[in-house]
Amino acid sequence: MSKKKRQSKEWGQFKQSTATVILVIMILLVITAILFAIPLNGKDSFQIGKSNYDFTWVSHAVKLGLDLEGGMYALYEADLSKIPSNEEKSNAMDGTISNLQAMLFSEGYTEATVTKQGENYIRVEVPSIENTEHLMTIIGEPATLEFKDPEGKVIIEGNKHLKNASEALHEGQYVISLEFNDEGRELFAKATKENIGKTISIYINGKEILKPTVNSAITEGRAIITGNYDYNTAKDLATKINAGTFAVKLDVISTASISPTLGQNALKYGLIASAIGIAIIILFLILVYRGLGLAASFALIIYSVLIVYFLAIVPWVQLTLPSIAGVILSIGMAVDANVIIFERIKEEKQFGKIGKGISTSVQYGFNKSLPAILDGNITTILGSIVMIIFGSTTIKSFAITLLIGILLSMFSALIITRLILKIMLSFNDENDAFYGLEIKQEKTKKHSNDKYDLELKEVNASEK
Amino acid sequence: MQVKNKTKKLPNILNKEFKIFQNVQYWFLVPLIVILISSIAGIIYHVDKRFYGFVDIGIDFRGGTVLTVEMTGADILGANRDKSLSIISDVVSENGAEVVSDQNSGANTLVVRYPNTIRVEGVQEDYNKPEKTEEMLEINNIIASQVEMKFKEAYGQDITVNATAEMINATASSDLIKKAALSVGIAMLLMLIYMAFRFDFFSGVATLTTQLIDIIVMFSCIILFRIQINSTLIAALITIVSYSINNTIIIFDRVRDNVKLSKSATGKIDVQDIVNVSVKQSFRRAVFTSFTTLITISILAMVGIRSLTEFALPIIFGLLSGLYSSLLLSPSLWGLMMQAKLKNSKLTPQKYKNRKKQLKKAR
Repeated sequence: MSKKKRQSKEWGQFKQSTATVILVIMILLVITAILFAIPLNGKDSFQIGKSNYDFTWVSHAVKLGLDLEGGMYALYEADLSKIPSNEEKSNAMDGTISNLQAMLFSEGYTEATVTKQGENYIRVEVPSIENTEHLMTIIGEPATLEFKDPEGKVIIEGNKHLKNASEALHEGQYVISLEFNDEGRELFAKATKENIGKTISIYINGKEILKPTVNSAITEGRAIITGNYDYNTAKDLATKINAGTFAVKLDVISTASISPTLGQNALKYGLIASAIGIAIIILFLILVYRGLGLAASFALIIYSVLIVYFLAIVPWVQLTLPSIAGVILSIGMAVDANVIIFERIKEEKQFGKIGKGISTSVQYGFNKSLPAILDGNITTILGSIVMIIFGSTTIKSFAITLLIGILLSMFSALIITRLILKIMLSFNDENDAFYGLEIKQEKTKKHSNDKYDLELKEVNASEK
Repeated sequence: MQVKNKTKKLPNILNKEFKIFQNVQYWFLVPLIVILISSIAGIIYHVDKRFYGFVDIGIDFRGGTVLTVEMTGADILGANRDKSLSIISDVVSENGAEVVSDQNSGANTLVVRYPNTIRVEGVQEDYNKPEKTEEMLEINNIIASQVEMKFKEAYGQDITVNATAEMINATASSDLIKKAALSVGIAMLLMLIYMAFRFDFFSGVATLTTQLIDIIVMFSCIILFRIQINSTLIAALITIVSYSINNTIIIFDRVRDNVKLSKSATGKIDVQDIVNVSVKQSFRRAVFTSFTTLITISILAMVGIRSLTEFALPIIFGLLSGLYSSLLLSPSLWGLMMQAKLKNSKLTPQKYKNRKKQLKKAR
């Protein structure tokens, strides 16, 4: 209770000089933030003294998906000549496609699409990213893996007997860890058992890279390849070996850049739509809630700037059409929170007529709408976390932006709007008309619902 | 009294008493009618050969054909892009298909996609079926050679143009749909649990039910207006699920407050009054916030880009349905369940309290 009292004393009690300072600092911060986000002159470098500094505008740092910015595609021809029946051919293609998808995903190309084209082609499309070359080295040249016994007979083949290859740390060294499938495990166990004391050679791409001596039979179906690898070479080689386990051999036929799947102007119009949307919302808020709406509009602008920053900074964001939906939805929720608060403030002003000033109504409005806002946002946060964990790529990108958006919108509605209102109130806390809080006599007309209104009044009185 | 009203401003509907719970049976009629109309429409689309099926499933889920046109000797892109694209679209539509997306590739290549739905003399048929594959391959060859011919007519015979049309699979796999359904399912279940804790179990059940109704209504509108279903729809559906729950929670927050007030004022839970007052109290807010979100989404739908419209329209339907169901359906559902519970347990809250006191005393 004492805590509450203190709060109500502090509320709206900025000195005017303090309020001015806070306001000026906020405006300067926002303007600077906007300037850093949006390129004005189109040049990305500027001169200080004699040297040029490269500068990436924040909005340029937002990674865009295949649907909005395009990227590149590669067309692979699959060698199906060794596979006899049509059914097996199509099975082999399907298997290769899903392997390719999994591999691209694990390499961080989460938005990549892999489709079968024609009979024996595979089309891979990836969003534009800095290191397409790295991608090409991985899927461009799959590695073959073979184990041979001392007589040079092939015991294990990567594309038949390997389940998975991955990089691992073994005795302080990066190694490639191999896991065989059931058939591979049996063969490997048999071969190691028969060749104790002899050597088994490991070939990658036909080149012998390791010739370990077998000490004992290995039955658990695992092996490691050592060699002076660092993390990156081990990882790349493991990926290539994985690519080599694909049922069919792939050859790159063509690669080229590709424009956005949603068409040239999807992003532009998406941004224009959001800007117009925000403008109309600001107009609406100011018309309906006047002074309160002004505070919320300022908070909304801060929110919009912040979200650009966060989309640029959070590493696994790749902006796609679904993620734009996430942003729009969170803008809606930010406004929602403000409307809930303002409606409560109006109610407080309305039913607490005697002795309730604007400051007190505003404070009660914020406090009373807090549970509703928290509940609404927490459920959505829960939902988005679940979708990040379990969802497929489209859903993940939507859920991540939604999560960022909700957290920011709560921040903007509950903290920024509150701060701005507090500043405004320290200049003007008596003008009902400015805050749109005039009491309308019409509304106090008697009807059956009044018992709750009365009750509300009593509760408010007792809280005071 | 009536004369007096005339001279005044328009009567504010918020000054009227809301009779939500008294008319509970009517509120469920609207979604039912929407569902009925769209099922009939769907059946018509299914039977009538001018459409190819119950719903319009897009290239993301069914696969289609990708046509790559490469030209050297003249610009296919840049200033000529519109011209090139219209030549290709014309050829494709003369052969009974329809271009749904176009992309630039490299400096001199245009890539378009069309679903393998071929219209012959007004009858649409799905050429993705295995028995139609041969025919589709033939159609694709015809399209490719016609495109090459038309390009030479348009840009002169000296150019070299190379068109290849090849069938592609669906980009959205069944795995994707399964994962989407799973994650949404888990998310909804967690929300139900959360609501059961923070509000009451009935609020949770009512919210879950209205979410399902929203999804069904949204699908009905998609069927009715023949919006093509592509992978962006999944995101649209999830958007609506999240938005609808947010709307509903605001109402149940009022319900929660009013239950407390009703208990302390009258000693019992007056379901009818609670529902009516709660809806009335959240009416302005619900309409305002849905309106602001609708503005942004509508602008997205209106810019005239096919993919954006396809994405935004379902969200608009969902928002409208969400507004309707959160205001009218979910509190009504809660009220019905609460009433049934109160009827069954003859204990009124007051009696319950008294009994509790007695028990305490006895101890």
